[in-house]
Amino acid sequence: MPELVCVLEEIHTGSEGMEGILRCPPTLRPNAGQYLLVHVAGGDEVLPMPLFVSRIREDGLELAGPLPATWMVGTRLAVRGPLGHGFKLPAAAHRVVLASLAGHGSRLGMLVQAALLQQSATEISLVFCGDLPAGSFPSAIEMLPLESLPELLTWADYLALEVTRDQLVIVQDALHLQPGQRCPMPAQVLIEMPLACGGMAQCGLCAVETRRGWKLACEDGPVFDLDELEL
Amino acid sequence: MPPRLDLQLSSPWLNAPGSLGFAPGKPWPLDAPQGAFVTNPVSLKPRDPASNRDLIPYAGGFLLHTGLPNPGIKAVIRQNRSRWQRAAVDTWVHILPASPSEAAEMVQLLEDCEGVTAIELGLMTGITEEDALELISAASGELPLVVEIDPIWVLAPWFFKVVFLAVAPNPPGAPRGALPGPGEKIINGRLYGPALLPQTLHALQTLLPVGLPVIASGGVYRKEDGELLLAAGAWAVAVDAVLWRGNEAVDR
Repeated sequence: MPELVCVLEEIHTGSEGMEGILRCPPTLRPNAGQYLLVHVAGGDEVLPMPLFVSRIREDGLELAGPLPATWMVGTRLAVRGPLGHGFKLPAAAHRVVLASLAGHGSRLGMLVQAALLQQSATEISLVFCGDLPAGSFPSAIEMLPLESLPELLTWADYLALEVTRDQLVIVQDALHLQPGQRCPMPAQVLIEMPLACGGMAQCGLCAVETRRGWKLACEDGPVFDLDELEL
Repeated sequence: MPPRLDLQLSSPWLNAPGSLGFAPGKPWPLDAPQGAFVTNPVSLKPRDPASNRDLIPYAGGFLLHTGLPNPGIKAVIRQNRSRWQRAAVDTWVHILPASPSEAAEMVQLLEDCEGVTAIELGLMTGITEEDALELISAASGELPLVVEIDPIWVLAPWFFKVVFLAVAPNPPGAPRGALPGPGEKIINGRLYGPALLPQTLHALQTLLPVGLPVIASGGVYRKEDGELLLAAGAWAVAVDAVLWRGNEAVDR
Protein backbone atom coordinates (compact mmCIF):
# COMPACT_ATOMS: atom_id res chain seq x y z
CA MET A 1 0.00 0.00 0.00
CA PRO A 2 1.53 3.32 -1.04
CA GLU A 3 2.53 5.77 1.66
CA LEU A 4 3.33 9.10 0.15
CA VAL A 5 3.93 12.69 1.05
CA CYS A 6 1.86 14.93 -1.21
CA VAL A 7 1.25 18.67 -1.33
CA LEU A 8 -2.11 20.34 -0.88
CA GLU A 9 -2.22 22.50 -3.96
CA GLU A 10 -5.50 24.31 -3.60
CA ILE A 11 -8.14 24.94 -0.96
CA HIS A 12 -11.61 26.23 -1.64
CA THR A 13 -15.01 26.33 0.00
CA GLY A 14 -17.20 23.52 -1.25
CA SER A 15 -20.59 22.09 -0.48
CA GLU A 16 -19.27 20.38 2.65
CA GLY A 17 -16.81 22.90 4.04
CA MET A 18 -13.22 23.31 3.00
CA GLU A 19 -12.24 21.10 0.11
CA GLY A 20 -8.93 20.85 -1.67
CA ILE A 21 -6.79 19.51 -4.46
CA LEU A 22 -3.95 17.18 -3.62
CA ARG A 23 -1.09 16.98 -6.08
CA CYS A 24 0.05 13.38 -6.15
CA PRO A 25 1.58 10.83 -8.49
CA PRO A 26 -0.67 8.69 -10.70
CA THR A 27 0.05 5.68 -8.49
CA LEU A 28 -2.37 7.10 -5.92
CA ARG A 29 -5.76 6.56 -7.49
CA PRO A 30 -8.48 5.29 -5.14
CA ASN A 31 -11.65 3.74 -6.45
CA ALA A 32 -14.95 5.45 -5.68
CA GLY A 33 -15.74 4.93 -2.00
CA GLN A 34 -12.21 4.01 -0.95
CA TYR A 35 -10.52 6.38 1.47
CA LEU A 36 -7.12 7.78 2.35
CA LEU A 37 -5.68 8.26 5.84
CA VAL A 38 -3.98 11.61 5.89
CA HIS A 39 -2.06 13.74 8.38
CA VAL A 40 0.29 16.67 8.14
CA ALA A 41 3.78 15.35 7.42
CA GLY A 42 5.89 15.96 10.49
CA GLY A 43 2.90 17.47 12.24
CA ASP A 44 1.47 16.88 15.69
CA GLU A 45 -2.01 15.69 14.78
CA VAL A 46 -2.98 12.92 17.17
CA LEU A 47 -4.81 10.86 14.57
CA PRO A 48 -4.71 10.60 10.82
CA MET A 49 -7.89 11.76 9.11
CA PRO A 50 -9.92 9.66 6.68
CA LEU A 51 -10.49 11.55 3.45
CA PHE A 52 -12.55 10.68 0.43
CA VAL A 53 -11.85 11.75 -3.11
CA SER A 54 -14.60 13.53 -5.01
CA ARG A 55 -12.86 13.59 -8.37
CA ILE A 56 -9.68 12.33 -9.96
CA ARG A 57 -7.69 14.81 -12.01
CA GLU A 58 -4.75 14.23 -14.29
CA ASP A 59 -2.34 15.73 -11.78
CA GLY A 60 -3.97 14.78 -8.53
CA LEU A 61 -7.10 14.28 -6.47
CA GLU A 62 -9.96 16.53 -5.48
CA LEU A 63 -10.55 15.88 -1.80
CA ALA A 64 -14.06 15.86 -0.37
CA GLY A 65 -14.53 18.09 2.64
CA PRO A 66 -14.47 19.11 5.29
CA LEU A 67 -10.70 19.49 5.53
CA PRO A 68 -9.21 20.73 8.81
CA ALA A 69 -9.12 24.50 9.07
CA THR A 70 -5.41 24.38 9.91
CA TRP A 71 -4.44 22.96 6.53
CA MET A 72 -3.23 25.52 4.02
CA VAL A 73 -2.12 25.62 0.43
CA GLY A 74 1.34 24.07 0.37
CA THR A 75 0.75 21.87 3.41
CA ARG A 76 2.65 18.60 2.99
CA LEU A 77 0.39 15.67 3.78
CA ALA A 78 1.43 12.11 4.59
CA VAL A 79 -1.03 9.87 2.78
CA ARG A 80 -1.74 6.18 3.40
CA GLY A 81 -4.02 4.34 1.03
CA PRO A 82 -6.16 3.74 -0.88
CA LEU A 83 -7.87 1.83 1.90
CA GLY A 84 -11.00 -0.27 2.22
CA HIS A 85 -13.51 -1.43 -0.34
CA GLY A 86 -15.32 1.02 -2.56
CA PHE A 87 -18.31 1.00 -4.89
CA LYS A 88 -18.59 -1.49 -7.70
CA LEU A 89 -20.68 0.07 -10.41
CA PRO A 90 -22.16 -2.82 -12.39
CA ALA A 91 -20.95 -2.81 -15.97
CA ALA A 92 -24.51 -3.18 -17.18
CA ALA A 93 -25.91 -0.31 -15.14
CA HIS A 94 -27.84 2.16 -17.25
CA ARG A 95 -30.00 3.90 -14.68
CA VAL A 96 -27.92 4.90 -11.69
CA VAL A 97 -29.26 6.64 -8.63
CA LEU A 98 -26.90 8.23 -6.14
CA ALA A 99 -28.41 9.40 -2.89
CA SER A 100 -26.98 11.05 0.17
CA LEU A 101 -28.66 11.10 3.53
CA ALA A 102 -25.41 12.29 5.11
CA GLY A 103 -24.45 15.42 3.26
CA HIS A 104 -24.18 16.83 -0.19
CA GLY A 105 -22.83 13.76 -1.85
CA SER A 106 -19.24 14.83 -2.37
CA ARG A 107 -18.06 11.36 -1.31
CA LEU A 108 -20.10 10.03 -4.21
CA GLY A 109 -18.36 12.34 -6.65
CA MET A 110 -15.93 9.75 -7.89
CA LEU A 111 -18.80 7.40 -8.59
CA VAL A 112 -20.35 10.11 -10.75
CA GLN A 113 -17.06 10.35 -12.59
CA ALA A 114 -16.91 6.58 -12.99
CA ALA A 115 -20.52 6.41 -14.16
CA LEU A 116 -19.96 9.10 -16.75
CA LEU A 117 -16.94 7.24 -18.02
CA GLN A 118 -18.89 4.03 -18.18
CA GLN A 119 -20.57 4.36 -21.51
CA SER A 120 -23.43 2.10 -20.57
CA ALA A 121 -24.54 4.49 -17.86
CA THR A 122 -26.19 6.94 -20.15
CA GLU A 123 -28.84 8.04 -17.70
CA ILE A 124 -27.98 9.20 -14.22
CA SER A 125 -30.22 10.70 -11.62
CA LEU A 126 -28.87 12.17 -8.44
CA VAL A 127 -30.95 12.66 -5.32
CA PHE A 128 -29.85 14.78 -2.41
CA CYS A 129 -30.97 15.27 1.13
CA GLY A 130 -31.21 18.93 2.14
CA ASP A 131 -29.46 21.66 0.24
CA LEU A 132 -28.47 20.94 -3.31
CA PRO A 133 -24.75 21.22 -4.00
CA ALA A 134 -23.73 24.35 -5.81
CA GLY A 135 -22.27 23.17 -9.07
CA SER A 136 -20.51 20.17 -7.59
CA PHE A 137 -21.71 17.77 -10.23
CA PRO A 138 -21.78 17.88 -14.02
CA SER A 139 -24.91 19.25 -15.62
CA ALA A 140 -25.66 15.83 -17.11
CA ILE A 141 -26.85 14.76 -13.69
CA GLU A 142 -30.42 15.36 -12.68
CA MET A 143 -30.95 16.75 -9.22
CA LEU A 144 -34.01 15.65 -7.31
CA PRO A 145 -35.07 15.94 -3.69
CA LEU A 146 -34.59 13.00 -1.38
CA GLU A 147 -38.34 12.44 -1.27
CA SER A 148 -38.11 11.19 -4.86
CA LEU A 149 -35.94 8.27 -3.85
CA PRO A 150 -38.62 5.58 -3.32
CA GLU A 151 -40.17 6.43 -6.68
CA LEU A 152 -36.80 6.23 -8.42
CA LEU A 153 -36.28 2.72 -7.13
CA THR A 154 -38.82 1.44 -9.65
CA TRP A 155 -36.69 2.93 -12.41
CA ALA A 156 -33.07 2.52 -11.32
CA ASP A 157 -30.88 -0.51 -11.93
CA TYR A 158 -28.20 0.55 -9.43
CA LEU A 159 -28.36 2.55 -6.22
CA ALA A 160 -25.44 4.09 -4.31
CA LEU A 161 -26.21 5.57 -0.90
CA GLU A 162 -24.15 7.72 1.43
CA VAL A 163 -25.27 7.60 5.08
CA THR A 164 -23.86 8.11 8.54
CA ARG A 165 -23.78 5.16 10.92
CA ASP A 166 -26.62 6.69 12.92
CA GLN A 167 -28.71 6.92 9.77
CA LEU A 168 -28.55 3.19 9.06
CA VAL A 169 -31.74 2.74 11.08
CA ILE A 170 -33.68 5.01 8.73
CA VAL A 171 -32.43 3.58 5.44
CA GLN A 172 -35.33 1.16 5.14
CA ASP A 173 -37.80 3.98 5.72
CA ALA A 174 -36.02 6.24 3.24
CA LEU A 175 -36.31 3.53 0.59
CA HIS A 176 -39.87 2.58 1.64
CA LEU A 177 -38.75 -1.00 2.20
CA GLN A 178 -40.61 -3.27 4.57
CA PRO A 179 -38.61 -5.05 7.28
CA GLY A 180 -36.84 -7.97 5.62
CA GLN A 181 -37.67 -6.74 2.13
CA ARG A 182 -34.70 -6.57 -0.18
CA CYS A 183 -33.90 -3.64 -2.41
CA PRO A 184 -35.20 -4.37 -5.91
CA MET A 185 -31.85 -3.58 -7.56
CA PRO A 186 -28.16 -3.85 -6.67
CA ALA A 187 -27.55 -1.25 -3.99
CA GLN A 188 -24.45 -0.23 -2.08
CA VAL A 189 -24.01 1.99 0.95
CA LEU A 190 -21.06 4.15 1.94
CA ILE A 191 -21.22 4.45 5.73
CA GLU A 192 -19.63 7.58 7.08
CA MET A 193 -18.04 7.03 10.50
CA PRO A 194 -14.71 7.43 12.28
CA LEU A 195 -12.04 5.35 10.51
CA ALA A 196 -9.16 5.92 12.86
CA CYS A 197 -6.75 3.07 12.27
CA GLY A 198 -7.13 2.25 8.60
CA GLY A 199 -7.52 -1.45 9.41
CA MET A 200 -4.34 -1.71 11.50
CA ALA A 201 -5.97 -2.15 14.90
CA GLN A 202 -9.19 -4.06 14.23
CA CYS A 203 -10.40 -2.16 17.26
CA GLY A 204 -14.11 -2.39 16.49
CA LEU A 205 -14.81 1.33 16.50
CA CYS A 206 -16.12 1.14 12.95
CA ALA A 207 -17.91 -2.21 13.40
CA VAL A 208 -20.97 -2.72 11.22
CA GLU A 209 -23.48 -5.49 11.80
CA THR A 210 -24.06 -7.60 8.71
CA ARG A 211 -25.98 -10.77 7.96
CA ARG A 212 -22.65 -12.61 8.25
CA GLY A 213 -21.63 -11.09 11.56
CA TRP A 214 -19.69 -7.99 12.48
CA LYS A 215 -17.55 -6.39 9.78
CA LEU A 216 -15.13 -3.49 10.06
CA ALA A 217 -15.77 -0.51 7.83
CA CYS A 218 -12.06 0.35 7.86
CA GLU A 219 -11.13 -2.80 5.96
CA ASP A 220 -14.35 -4.52 4.81
CA GLY A 221 -16.03 -1.23 3.90
CA PRO A 222 -16.72 1.62 4.14
CA VAL A 223 -18.93 0.60 1.21
CA PHE A 224 -21.20 -2.40 1.84
CA ASP A 225 -23.87 -4.10 -0.23
CA LEU A 226 -27.18 -2.91 1.17
CA ASP A 227 -28.54 -6.45 1.33
CA GLU A 228 -25.52 -7.49 3.39
CA LEU A 229 -26.36 -5.07 6.19
CA GLU A 230 -28.37 -5.98 9.26
CA LEU A 231 -30.66 -2.96 9.32
CA MET B 1 2.89 -23.01 39.96
CA PRO B 2 4.79 -19.80 40.66
CA PRO B 3 4.74 -17.23 37.91
CA ARG B 4 7.85 -16.96 35.79
CA LEU B 5 9.95 -14.02 34.84
CA ASP B 6 12.00 -15.28 31.97
CA LEU B 7 10.66 -12.84 29.45
CA GLN B 8 13.22 -11.96 26.84
CA LEU B 9 12.99 -8.98 24.55
CA SER B 10 15.29 -8.43 21.61
CA SER B 11 14.14 -4.82 21.57
CA PRO B 12 12.40 -2.71 24.23
CA TRP B 13 9.83 -1.39 21.77
CA LEU B 14 6.39 -3.03 21.76
CA ASN B 15 2.95 -2.22 20.50
CA ALA B 16 0.25 -1.67 23.13
CA PRO B 17 -2.73 -4.04 23.15
CA GLY B 18 -5.46 -2.74 20.89
CA SER B 19 -3.12 -0.99 18.50
CA LEU B 20 -2.24 -3.61 15.88
CA GLY B 21 -4.93 -6.26 15.87
CA PHE B 22 -4.62 -9.94 16.63
CA ALA B 23 -1.73 -11.04 14.41
CA PRO B 24 1.75 -9.65 13.75
CA GLY B 25 2.83 -8.45 10.36
CA LYS B 26 1.39 -4.93 10.36
CA PRO B 27 3.74 -2.11 9.39
CA TRP B 28 6.17 -1.19 12.16
CA PRO B 29 7.27 2.40 11.68
CA LEU B 30 10.15 2.65 14.16
CA ASP B 31 13.74 2.25 13.08
CA ALA B 32 14.20 0.13 16.23
CA PRO B 33 12.82 -3.41 15.83
CA GLN B 34 9.61 -4.57 17.48
CA GLY B 35 10.48 -6.56 20.60
CA ALA B 36 7.19 -8.45 20.73
CA PHE B 37 3.75 -8.28 19.19
CA VAL B 38 0.94 -7.78 21.73
CA THR B 39 -2.53 -8.81 20.58
CA ASN B 40 -5.75 -6.94 21.06
CA PRO B 41 -7.53 -7.88 24.30
CA VAL B 42 -9.17 -11.31 23.97
CA SER B 43 -11.98 -12.67 26.11
CA LEU B 44 -13.03 -16.28 26.57
CA LYS B 45 -16.38 -15.76 24.87
CA PRO B 46 -16.99 -13.50 21.86
CA ARG B 47 -17.62 -9.85 22.72
CA ASP B 48 -19.75 -7.62 20.50
CA PRO B 49 -18.82 -3.99 19.91
CA ALA B 50 -20.35 -1.54 22.37
CA SER B 51 -23.57 -0.02 21.06
CA ASN B 52 -22.32 3.45 22.00
CA ARG B 53 -18.83 2.96 20.57
CA ASP B 54 -17.26 6.25 19.73
CA LEU B 55 -14.10 8.25 19.25
CA ILE B 56 -14.10 11.66 20.96
CA PRO B 57 -11.14 13.97 20.36
CA TYR B 58 -9.92 16.37 23.02
CA ALA B 59 -6.91 18.65 23.27
CA GLY B 60 -3.85 16.44 23.26
CA GLY B 61 -5.58 13.16 22.61
CA PHE B 62 -8.78 11.24 22.13
CA LEU B 63 -11.10 8.93 24.00
CA LEU B 64 -11.89 5.60 22.36
CA HIS B 65 -14.77 3.41 23.44
CA THR B 66 -15.25 0.18 21.54
CA GLY B 67 -16.29 -2.43 24.09
CA LEU B 68 -13.10 -4.35 23.21
CA PRO B 69 -14.90 -6.57 20.69
CA ASN B 70 -13.24 -9.84 19.78
CA PRO B 71 -14.41 -13.21 18.49
CA GLY B 72 -13.38 -15.08 21.65
CA ILE B 73 -10.19 -16.95 22.45
CA LYS B 74 -10.95 -20.09 20.46
CA ALA B 75 -11.71 -18.16 17.27
CA VAL B 76 -8.72 -15.88 17.79
CA ILE B 77 -6.45 -18.91 18.13
CA ARG B 78 -8.01 -20.62 15.13
CA GLN B 79 -7.65 -17.52 12.95
CA ASN B 80 -4.15 -16.50 14.04
CA ARG B 81 -2.11 -19.37 15.41
CA SER B 82 -0.32 -20.11 12.14
CA ARG B 83 0.62 -16.43 11.84
CA TRP B 84 1.87 -16.39 15.43
CA GLN B 85 3.91 -19.47 14.65
CA ARG B 86 5.42 -18.06 11.45
CA ALA B 87 6.05 -14.55 12.73
CA ALA B 88 9.58 -13.27 13.12
CA VAL B 89 8.54 -11.63 16.37
CA ASP B 90 7.20 -13.24 19.56
CA THR B 91 3.51 -12.88 20.31
CA TRP B 92 2.08 -11.95 23.69
CA VAL B 93 -1.64 -12.58 23.94
CA HIS B 94 -3.55 -10.07 26.02
CA ILE B 95 -6.37 -11.83 27.87
CA LEU B 96 -9.49 -10.35 29.46
CA PRO B 97 -10.88 -13.11 31.68
CA ALA B 98 -14.08 -12.52 33.61
CA SER B 99 -13.17 -15.01 36.32
CA PRO B 100 -10.20 -17.05 37.56
CA SER B 101 -11.56 -20.17 35.89
CA GLU B 102 -11.76 -18.30 32.59
CA ALA B 103 -8.19 -17.12 33.05
CA ALA B 104 -6.96 -20.64 33.66
CA GLU B 105 -8.85 -21.99 30.64
CA MET B 106 -7.53 -19.27 28.34
CA VAL B 107 -3.95 -19.69 29.49
CA GLN B 108 -4.15 -23.44 28.99
CA LEU B 109 -5.38 -22.96 25.42
CA LEU B 110 -2.56 -20.52 24.68
CA GLU B 111 0.16 -22.74 26.09
CA ASP B 112 -0.30 -24.99 23.08
CA CYS B 113 0.26 -22.16 20.60
CA GLU B 114 3.72 -21.98 19.11
CA GLY B 115 4.96 -18.41 18.84
CA VAL B 116 3.07 -17.24 21.91
CA THR B 117 5.76 -16.49 24.46
CA ALA B 118 3.85 -14.59 27.14
CA ILE B 119 0.41 -13.82 28.53
CA GLU B 120 -0.63 -10.28 29.24
CA LEU B 121 -3.43 -10.02 31.79
CA GLY B 122 -5.55 -6.90 31.80
CA LEU B 123 -7.13 -6.21 35.17
CA MET B 124 -10.15 -3.99 34.87
CA THR B 125 -10.21 -0.82 36.92
CA GLY B 126 -12.25 -1.32 40.08
CA ILE B 127 -11.43 -4.99 40.56
CA THR B 128 -11.09 -6.02 44.18
CA GLU B 129 -7.84 -7.13 45.76
CA GLU B 130 -9.10 -10.66 46.25
CA ASP B 131 -10.31 -10.96 42.66
CA ALA B 132 -7.08 -9.51 41.29
CA LEU B 133 -4.94 -11.98 43.19
CA GLU B 134 -7.13 -14.90 42.16
CA LEU B 135 -6.96 -13.85 38.52
CA ILE B 136 -3.21 -13.45 38.63
CA SER B 137 -2.83 -16.82 40.29
CA ALA B 138 -5.11 -18.51 37.77
CA ALA B 139 -3.28 -16.91 34.83
CA SER B 140 0.10 -18.03 36.11
CA GLY B 141 0.84 -21.11 34.06
CA GLU B 142 3.75 -22.21 31.94
CA LEU B 143 4.01 -18.92 30.08
CA PRO B 144 5.49 -15.76 31.58
CA LEU B 145 2.85 -13.32 32.76
CA VAL B 146 2.66 -9.58 32.33
CA VAL B 147 -0.03 -7.87 34.39
CA GLU B 148 -1.55 -4.55 33.49
CA ILE B 149 -2.51 -2.72 36.62
CA ASP B 150 -3.75 0.62 37.79
CA PRO B 151 -0.61 2.33 39.15
CA ILE B 152 -2.50 3.31 42.30
CA TRP B 153 -2.43 -0.36 43.34
CA VAL B 154 1.27 -0.20 43.96
CA LEU B 155 0.42 1.54 47.19
CA ALA B 156 -1.75 -1.35 48.37
CA PRO B 157 -0.15 -3.92 50.66
CA TRP B 158 -1.50 -6.80 48.61
CA PHE B 159 0.53 -5.77 45.61
CA PHE B 160 3.70 -6.88 47.34
CA LYS B 161 2.34 -10.39 47.57
CA VAL B 162 2.66 -10.52 43.79
CA VAL B 163 6.15 -11.39 42.80
CA PHE B 164 8.03 -12.24 39.65
CA LEU B 165 5.70 -10.43 37.31
CA ALA B 166 6.36 -7.78 34.78
CA VAL B 167 3.84 -4.99 35.10
CA ALA B 168 2.42 -2.43 32.76
CA PRO B 169 0.38 0.53 33.95
CA ASN B 170 -2.91 1.48 32.33
CA PRO B 171 -5.27 -1.49 31.97
CA PRO B 172 -6.14 -2.64 29.36
CA GLY B 173 -3.62 -0.84 27.24
CA ALA B 174 -4.64 2.71 28.06
CA PRO B 175 -5.91 4.72 31.02
CA ARG B 176 -9.62 5.33 31.42
CA GLY B 177 -11.42 8.60 31.02
CA ALA B 178 -14.84 10.05 30.31
CA LEU B 179 -16.11 12.73 27.96
CA PRO B 180 -19.50 13.85 26.73
CA GLY B 181 -20.52 12.11 23.52
CA PRO B 182 -23.48 12.63 21.22
CA GLY B 183 -26.39 14.19 23.07
CA GLU B 184 -24.03 15.13 25.90
CA LYS B 185 -24.26 11.59 27.26
CA ILE B 186 -21.06 10.74 29.10
CA ILE B 187 -18.95 8.10 27.35
CA ASN B 188 -16.33 6.16 29.29
CA GLY B 189 -13.38 4.80 27.37
CA ARG B 190 -9.64 4.51 26.95
CA LEU B 191 -7.49 7.59 26.52
CA TYR B 192 -4.76 8.00 23.93
CA GLY B 193 -2.54 10.84 22.85
CA PRO B 194 0.62 12.72 23.68
CA ALA B 195 -1.03 14.50 26.62
CA LEU B 196 -0.69 11.26 28.59
CA LEU B 197 3.10 11.17 28.58
CA PRO B 198 3.56 12.97 31.94
CA GLN B 199 1.08 10.58 33.53
CA THR B 200 2.97 7.60 32.12
CA LEU B 201 6.29 8.90 33.41
CA HIS B 202 4.71 9.44 36.82
CA ALA B 203 3.28 5.90 36.83
CA LEU B 204 6.69 4.54 35.89
CA GLN B 205 8.32 6.36 38.78
CA THR B 206 5.65 5.02 41.12
CA LEU B 207 6.15 1.44 39.98
CA LEU B 208 9.94 1.31 39.75
CA PRO B 209 10.57 0.97 43.51
CA VAL B 210 8.66 -2.30 43.48
CA GLY B 211 11.58 -3.77 41.57
CA LEU B 212 9.59 -5.39 38.80
CA PRO B 213 10.22 -4.79 35.12
CA VAL B 214 7.85 -2.05 33.96
CA ILE B 215 6.44 -1.67 30.47
CA ALA B 216 5.60 1.99 30.08
CA SER B 217 2.72 2.82 27.77
CA GLY B 218 0.57 5.83 27.07
CA GLY B 219 1.41 9.08 25.34
CA VAL B 220 4.43 7.88 23.38
CA TYR B 221 4.09 9.81 20.13
CA ARG B 222 7.74 10.49 19.32
CA LYS B 223 10.79 8.30 19.55
CA GLU B 224 12.31 10.61 22.14
CA ASP B 225 9.23 10.09 24.32
CA GLY B 226 10.01 6.38 24.45
CA GLU B 227 13.69 7.00 24.95
CA LEU B 228 12.83 9.26 27.89
CA LEU B 229 10.85 6.44 29.51
CA LEU B 230 13.61 3.92 28.88
CA ALA B 231 16.18 6.27 30.34
CA ALA B 232 13.92 6.71 33.37
CA GLY B 233 14.02 2.99 34.02
CA ALA B 234 11.29 1.39 31.91
CA TRP B 235 12.10 -2.15 30.87
CA ALA B 236 10.16 -1.63 27.66
CA VAL B 237 7.93 0.94 26.00
CA ALA B 238 4.62 0.25 24.29
CA VAL B 239 3.38 2.55 21.56
CA ASP B 240 -0.26 2.72 20.58
CA ALA B 241 -2.39 4.92 18.33
CA VAL B 242 0.55 6.75 16.83
CA LEU B 243 1.21 3.56 14.89
CA TRP B 244 -1.92 4.31 12.87
CA ARG B 245 -0.15 7.25 11.28
CA GLY B 246 1.97 4.83 9.29
CA ASN B 247 5.62 4.94 8.42
CA GLU B 248 6.10 8.52 9.45
CA ALA B 249 4.83 7.73 12.96
CA VAL B 250 6.97 7.91 16.08
CA ASP B 251 10.27 7.87 14.28
CA ARG B 252 10.51 11.61 13.88
